[in-house]
Amino acid sequence: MTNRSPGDLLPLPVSQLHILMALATGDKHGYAIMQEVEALTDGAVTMGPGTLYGTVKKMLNAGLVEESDERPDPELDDERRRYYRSTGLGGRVLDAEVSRMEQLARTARARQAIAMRRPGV
Amino acid sequence: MPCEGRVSEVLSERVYRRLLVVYPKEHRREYGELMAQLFRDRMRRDGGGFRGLIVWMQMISDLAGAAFKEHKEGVEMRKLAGIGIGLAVVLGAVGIGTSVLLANSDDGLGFSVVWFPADGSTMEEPEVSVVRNEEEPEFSVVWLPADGSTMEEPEVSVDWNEAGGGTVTVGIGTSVLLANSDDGSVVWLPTDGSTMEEPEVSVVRNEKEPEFSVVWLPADGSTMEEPEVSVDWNEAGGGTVTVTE
Repeated sequence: MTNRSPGDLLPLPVSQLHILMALATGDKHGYAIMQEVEALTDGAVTMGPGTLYGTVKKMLNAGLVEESDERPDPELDDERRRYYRSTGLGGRVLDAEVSRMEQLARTARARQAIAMRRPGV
Repeated sequence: MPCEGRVSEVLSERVYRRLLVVYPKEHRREYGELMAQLFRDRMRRDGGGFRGLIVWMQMISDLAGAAFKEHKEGVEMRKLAGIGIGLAVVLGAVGIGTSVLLANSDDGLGFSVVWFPADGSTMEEPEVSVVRNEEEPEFSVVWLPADGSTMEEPEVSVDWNEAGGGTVTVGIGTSVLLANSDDGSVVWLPTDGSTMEEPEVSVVRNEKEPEFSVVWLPADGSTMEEPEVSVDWNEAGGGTVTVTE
């Protein structure tokens, strides 16, 4: 699993991208991931329980995330909550996906510019 | 009225927990509690009044879509791993030799449909699995109540549709409906590489009109001859409904 190249997992499904982005700032449980994804997307995406845990399951299997034993604030937390964190592979896949999207955006802008220069457009 | 809000929250969660039955058993075992917890967190935050209704709509949509994927991926994984055999459809040039067995099984083959009696009885959940049976294609529903209760012999009927599929209905005093529906699904994946599209079979609770139905909808418009339907009763009061072509 850890021998996989980040490129093998691209393009990354958007739900996995959102979760890796949410976990980039630290370990989180399901509800915290959901809230972070909402914040990252300005409220446009609210992951439901089925989507979130279905995606987490796939990411666990792919080695992108792992369960974490650490509790950021054990006093305030429910022991039954399960925390997740991004793995090394998860971090590399996030980098690769972001680079891929940047390249795609550059290409799209370049094509748009060419189209704008065409007579009659 | 904080108390009313709390009651509504508890009831909502109870209903949601029941709805989790549409997920495959292993997924429910691993993530059911976590999903219920996330549902509870979300309802606490957004569950009041009209917003609660919107949250519920989102939850149903999420449940249906995610459960469908889980079933589909579960069947695909079993196919890839070569474990158990899933289910099979043998499509011949002439007509269909259909082969599915819905059976109580401990061997982990196929998938499971969990039974939640709607009448509050103590009946344990029977497991229903789908396994492939290529040698003797048949379509069976095995019903094994785990509590040794007696059960009257139900009426069995087959209602054929225009596409050549049909509904096998066994009217019994309890309530489960296996039906083509958008509310969570048990997915059918032919293992022979045929072009038949996946019919969806799902389990929903049906308290008003208790019945046990299996809906079979071949998507390729092929014809299917009317099979023989028989019921073989066991000592526990359950039985096997067999539909043979």
